Amino acid sequence: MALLEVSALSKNFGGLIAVDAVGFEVYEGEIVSLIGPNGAGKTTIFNLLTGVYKANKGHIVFDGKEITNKSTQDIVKAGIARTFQNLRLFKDMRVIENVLIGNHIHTKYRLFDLLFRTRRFRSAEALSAQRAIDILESIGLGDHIDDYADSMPYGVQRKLEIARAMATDAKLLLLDEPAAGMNASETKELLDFIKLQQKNGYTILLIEHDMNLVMNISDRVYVLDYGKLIASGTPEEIANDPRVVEAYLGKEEDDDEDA
Amino acid sequence: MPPRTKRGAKLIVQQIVNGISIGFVYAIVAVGYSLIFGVLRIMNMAYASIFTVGAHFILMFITAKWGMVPAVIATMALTGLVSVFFDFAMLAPLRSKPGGTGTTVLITAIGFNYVLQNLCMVIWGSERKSFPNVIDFGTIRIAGFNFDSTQFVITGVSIILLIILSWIIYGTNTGLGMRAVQQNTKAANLMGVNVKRTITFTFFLSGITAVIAAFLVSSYYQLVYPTMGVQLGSKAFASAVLGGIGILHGSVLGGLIVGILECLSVYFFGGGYREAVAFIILLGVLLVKPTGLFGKKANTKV
Amino acid sequence: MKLKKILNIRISERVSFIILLVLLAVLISLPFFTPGQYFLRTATNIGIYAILALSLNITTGYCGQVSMGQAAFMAVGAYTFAILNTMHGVGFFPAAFVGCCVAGVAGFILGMPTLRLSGAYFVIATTGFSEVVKVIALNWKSMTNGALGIKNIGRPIVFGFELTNANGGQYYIMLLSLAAVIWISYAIKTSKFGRALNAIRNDELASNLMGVNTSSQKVLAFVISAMLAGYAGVLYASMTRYIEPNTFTTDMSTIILCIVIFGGMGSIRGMIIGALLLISFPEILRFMATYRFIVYGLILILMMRFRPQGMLGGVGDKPYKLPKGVKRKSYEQGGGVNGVT
Repeated sequence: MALLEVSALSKNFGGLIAVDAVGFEVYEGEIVSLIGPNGAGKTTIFNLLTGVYKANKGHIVFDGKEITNKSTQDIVKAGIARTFQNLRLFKDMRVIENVLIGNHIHTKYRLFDLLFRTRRFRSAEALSAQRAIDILESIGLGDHIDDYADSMPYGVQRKLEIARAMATDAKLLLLDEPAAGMNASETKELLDFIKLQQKNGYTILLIEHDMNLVMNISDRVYVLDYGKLIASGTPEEIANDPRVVEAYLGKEEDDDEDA
Repeated sequence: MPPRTKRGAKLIVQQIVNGISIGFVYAIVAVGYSLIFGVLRIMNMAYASIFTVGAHFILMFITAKWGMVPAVIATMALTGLVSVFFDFAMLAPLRSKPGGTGTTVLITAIGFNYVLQNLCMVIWGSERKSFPNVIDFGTIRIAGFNFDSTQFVITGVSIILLIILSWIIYGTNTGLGMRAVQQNTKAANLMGVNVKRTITFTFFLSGITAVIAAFLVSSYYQLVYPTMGVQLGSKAFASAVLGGIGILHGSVLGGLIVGILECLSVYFFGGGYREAVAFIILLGVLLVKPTGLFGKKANTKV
Repeated sequence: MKLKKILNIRISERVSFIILLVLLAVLISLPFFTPGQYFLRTATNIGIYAILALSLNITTGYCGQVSMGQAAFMAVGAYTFAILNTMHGVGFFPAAFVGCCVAGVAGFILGMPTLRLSGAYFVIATTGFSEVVKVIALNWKSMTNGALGIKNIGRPIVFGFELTNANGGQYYIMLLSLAAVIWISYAIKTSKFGRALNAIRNDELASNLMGVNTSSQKVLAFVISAMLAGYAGVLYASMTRYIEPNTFTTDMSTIILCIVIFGGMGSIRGMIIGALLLISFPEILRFMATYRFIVYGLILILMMRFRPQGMLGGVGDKPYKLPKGVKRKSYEQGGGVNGVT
């Protein structure tokens, strides 16, 4: 049984059909990529998966439970976390604080505890902080926990956003164009980083435009165009699929004038 | 019909008429809010004090023995300048700053509003000053009802102003520029619309609108005082939100609805809770459909 | 400005601790060497405004939601307290407690529907709410005595001893209350609740998507804010011994906002120093007294233009305080950013 099962998922905004009866699976431990031209509906699917948008039709089943149209908080609790196309770190907060927010739902104490600094408060905070430190050290940011999020280099910020998502204890990570704006060496680093997280047990669903990254990292690829799923398979199968080429480059013109 | 019901019906109609005339004043001020929201996507929190300043200027000129007409015209020019100054000196510098958040603009506007209001208090005194009602032509009797001629004038002037505003916005090139900036500022800029000038013009226009409203309100209640803008501002704002802020015909309809409901509430519940009506309407709109009667819901882009 | 000098000096921990002790000693012994009651009253007033600024700081400073409702919550707390105290013989402390709770309920009722709206709408809602509270106070004559107000409001009685301004008792109650509110502010700031509010201020959508229930956190912050303001209203009523519908004005809400902005959103020290400076300056610079409201408005404008983080606000440069027992690998003191592995 797949970790994530999406069937007949549809979303329209007024007359505009953004996602049209899309269905796909992601199995535990896989890295699956979602590709397609701009405007194909990929981020919309992420928004549907995380409860930002409500689906018009279709079902999303995660870890055996139906999560279609559940609240964002419930979805995060169930084990899905994401990053954003345009980096949404908490700029005025430190690196460690950003990651601590990821762990918010697992830091368990009440208002009473924090006002009176009970044992429950102290142990929950220590646990949460340790987890954040561990995550940050594992991605090489152990010396930068006090730095402010927006003072880090771009590539590091991307990693930080992923670390923050990891802190939610997610089973499935949704990464929205994590390589955007990166040069070749940064992308290579990112590739190794994502592969490492796969080894660590995370399942990853990825939106990307960088074909190099997609081909090198994915176990399977789904291709979207105009809101519809037009192809799926291994990276090699996709690369050779004429429909995919057409979607990106347009139809080949037939020259049949001048008989 | 038994006399009690007849009198009751008469009073209700009376209140509706009251509601329409005050509603038109709310409508004008609501339009002032909508104009600014349209081009800048901000709530002009300083508008209430611009209204107040307008009223005080008119009174100042009148006290200096000017006629009402020249006083109002001079005030329109002056207040328009104050309004433009507000944008030029306070808001525009924040626009060019990186990360100029909505909070920054909001607090600046609250501050400016407060400064203007208290300047009125310092310069002209905080007591209520009397204002002559030059649009009073006595009572008019129609079909057995007594109507205040001032209300007729208020309604008439408001309608004329709204027609003029509509003509400016929908019938002139400047108005076209305003609508373009409202839809998409960047595109408008690329299409050759002078965005800065359009914004300045909008502020000037909203200042003039405030002055006309100030004239009408001051004439009707025959009072001018530094905090007169506070309640009117809140009610006009509620009207704008009810109709859908930024949408002109929405503001007009919203103003009328608030005015009528407010006056009807006086009939049914007595005058004491009158001021709460607009707030209850506002709260209701924000709970049920924050975009207002004619507003469209915007989708968040992630 | 002298203040800037104080900010730029890097004081060692020891020195700042000593300064704090001296300050505390001065504050505690103030009633014994003040020149007359007026001075003590002003000090109490400053303290109340510091509490109010700290209360607004939770909603506006931590969470970034500008509110003009503090005066209204003061009124709710003060009236509840005054009614219970003068008309039903309830003692200071129980009446104050109920006053806080009712203010909290008012905060909940106002906050629930309005906090999910964007900033400007929320400000308008809080301003309108202030108007409504005033209208209710004016018209619900059977409860509030209408425009006549409530007089002879009681003062705290501890072990049969009435605490007044004259014997310094009210000053000490204010001092103790201020200490408690400072603790509450600090406790929230250094907990997951405070972090969540900060995150919401930075990016509400991202906070949601990290699992934070932003609505409930915002409402909780607002309710706490309202309760603290309600308590400040109780202290105020007890000090002035008379309240009426026009006691708690929009002016007050504006001044409180001004203190928060001037002191620096989020900074606890900023709230206290801000209250001290902004409430005392009309007393010290007497000629400015008529213009003080204009000054408050100008401060709002100038701060936003030239120093939006306020005098003491903005991001600090001290390292993050980790809880005890947290282990780190190869921690280097003052590590620089030289690229990351």
